[in-house]
Formats: sequence, structure tokens, C-alpha cells
Amino acid sequence: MKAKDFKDIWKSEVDKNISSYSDRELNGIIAKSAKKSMRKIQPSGVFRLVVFAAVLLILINLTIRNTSVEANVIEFTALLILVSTYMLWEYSAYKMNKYRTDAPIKKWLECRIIEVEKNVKFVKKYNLLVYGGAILIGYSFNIIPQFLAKSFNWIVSIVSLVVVVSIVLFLRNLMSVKCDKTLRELNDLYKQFDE
Amino acid sequence: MKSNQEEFLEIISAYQGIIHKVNLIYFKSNADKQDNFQEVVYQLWRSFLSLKDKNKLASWIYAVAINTSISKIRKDSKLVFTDDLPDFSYVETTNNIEHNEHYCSLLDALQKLNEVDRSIMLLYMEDYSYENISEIVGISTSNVGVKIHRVKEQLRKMLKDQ
Repeated sequence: MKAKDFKDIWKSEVDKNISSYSDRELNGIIAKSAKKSMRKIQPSGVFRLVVFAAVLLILINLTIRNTSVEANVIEFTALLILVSTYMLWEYSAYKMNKYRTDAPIKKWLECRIIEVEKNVKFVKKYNLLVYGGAILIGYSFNIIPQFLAKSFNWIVSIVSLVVVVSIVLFLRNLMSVKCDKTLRELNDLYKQFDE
Repeated sequence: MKSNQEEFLEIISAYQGIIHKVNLIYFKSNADKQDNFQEVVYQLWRSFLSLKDKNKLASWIYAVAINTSISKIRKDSKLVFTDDLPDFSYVETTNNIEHNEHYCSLLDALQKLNEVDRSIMLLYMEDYSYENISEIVGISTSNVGVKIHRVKEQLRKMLKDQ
């Protein structure tokens, strides 16, 4: 086969091998995409209302109602986790909206590499803070109620510490492997432009 | 006045061939092609509202379809290693068509190229100018020329060996 024939061969056969979707089928795919897009890109209005209501309820509980110290500590922790998770969700939505798939392929790859590298740098820089904090929060769920209830149990505390540390280390390893693999693959792809 | 969804449907309906062609060079199984079609439509829908230049719809669809396909291949690395014969099972008219032998060989050879070369060759075979390919892929026009020349040689060698 001659190189100049590639175009002719492609053009003469490719359309025969394509089965186009009908407008009805396309409409279904688009409707599905629109719903997926709404869910993924923007936390919905209902979700925001639920978060707002939950935060309000916890704040009322913390300030107005006279509850026990144990309950206050648990509610305050829940408030912190809820607010930080919500902020992360909003930040992620903002990043998703900024990320454009219609950029030229090389630029699109550069953006993705930069994002992954930023992530890797952040994790390396704040390694102790991120994972130490995760261990501390996870462990405090078990230890604080024990102290407050004045029923400290050494065995339960040690076992729960081992469990929390193992889970955090496992997740750390999982994320690190995934990040390295993604970065390596993106760099491999990027190298294809220079070959 | 048309709603965004109606306008989007018209565009996808008119240009869906592009997505199918990109699917052909990147995926072999019916399920992967269908999955990727949906993912590409989703990514197009996401960037549709911010699309500024509606005179370059084909280039826009090519860029999104290629980026999404590469991303899917890399996410699901097992796709890279499948080396079955091209799967045409999804084609409605499969029984009525005798596939051109050269076309099958060409498609098979295209699927053995690296991701970037595949996209450049697809755009070349679809009669895109070097300038347009350069805009979509993001490399210089001269680099496009060099790559096309090299890939054509590579394809010729692959087809000769078959």
C-alpha cells in the first residue's frame, strides 16, 4: 500500500463503518450528560441548603442549648469536618469549571501535568501535617469520648491507634502510587510530542 | 429562539461522525466506544456554554474527543494492551458490508501508533491543513509536517510487514 493511498482508503471506507445515533438516542445521551454535568460540576442548590441547615442546627446546639461537654465536643468536630468538606467540594467544583478539555492536546497535557505536580508537591511539603492530622482526627474520635466519660481503656485505645495509623498509611500509599503513576503516564504522553 | 440543549443537539447530530472516527482509532471494543462517546458528549456539553468561536465547531469537537479518548485510555490502562481484531459488531449494517481489506489493515496499523501520532494521522486523513492540525494538537506547523512524514513511513512499513 502506498502512503499516498492512506487518505483514499480511509475516506472510502470509514463512513460505511460508522453507525450514527438517531436524534432520539442523542437526546438521551445529552440529557444524561447534562444531569451528570450538573451533579459533578456544581454542588446542587438542595445540597447547599442541606449543608447550610446542618451548620445552622449545630451552631444553635452549640450556643443556645445546654448540652453536655461530650456532646459539644462531638458537635464541634462534626461542624469542622462538615465545613471543611463543603469548602473542599466548592473548591473542587471551581477547579473543574476552570479545567478545559477543548484546549490543544499539548496544552491540555501541560495543564494536567502541572496540576498533578502541584498535588505531589503539596503532599510532600505538608506530608506530616496532612497525615499526622488525619491520624489525630481519626484517633480523637475514639479517645476524646473516653476521656470525657472518664472510662479510659488502654487496650481499646492502642488497638484503635494501630487501626487508624494502618488505614491512614494504607491510604497514603495508595494515593502516592496513583499520583506517581498518573504523573509518569502524563509525562510519557508528553514525550510523544518531542519524539 | 433555540434553547442551549436544542442547539447542542443539532451540533452533535451534525458532527457525531467526528466522535465515531476518533473512537475508531482509539478503541476496539463496542463497549469502550459507547462509553467514550458518552464521555465525549459530556465533556463537549461542559465546554459548550463557554465556547467562543462557533465557526470552528469541528476543530473543537476533535480537540475534546481526542483529549477525552487519550484520558480514557490512560485511566483504563488495560485498554492499551488489548490486541484483538477491530470490533465492528456495533455497526448496524455489519452483515451487509464486506470490509475492505486495506481499510482493516490500515485501521489495525493506526491503532498500533502512539496516541499523539494517531490523532495527527486522523486529522491528516480527514483533510485538515497543517495549520489546523497544529491548532488542535498544539505543536508547530513544521513539527506537524515532520510527524506526518514520519508516521506515513511507519505505517507503510507496518503494512508492508503484514
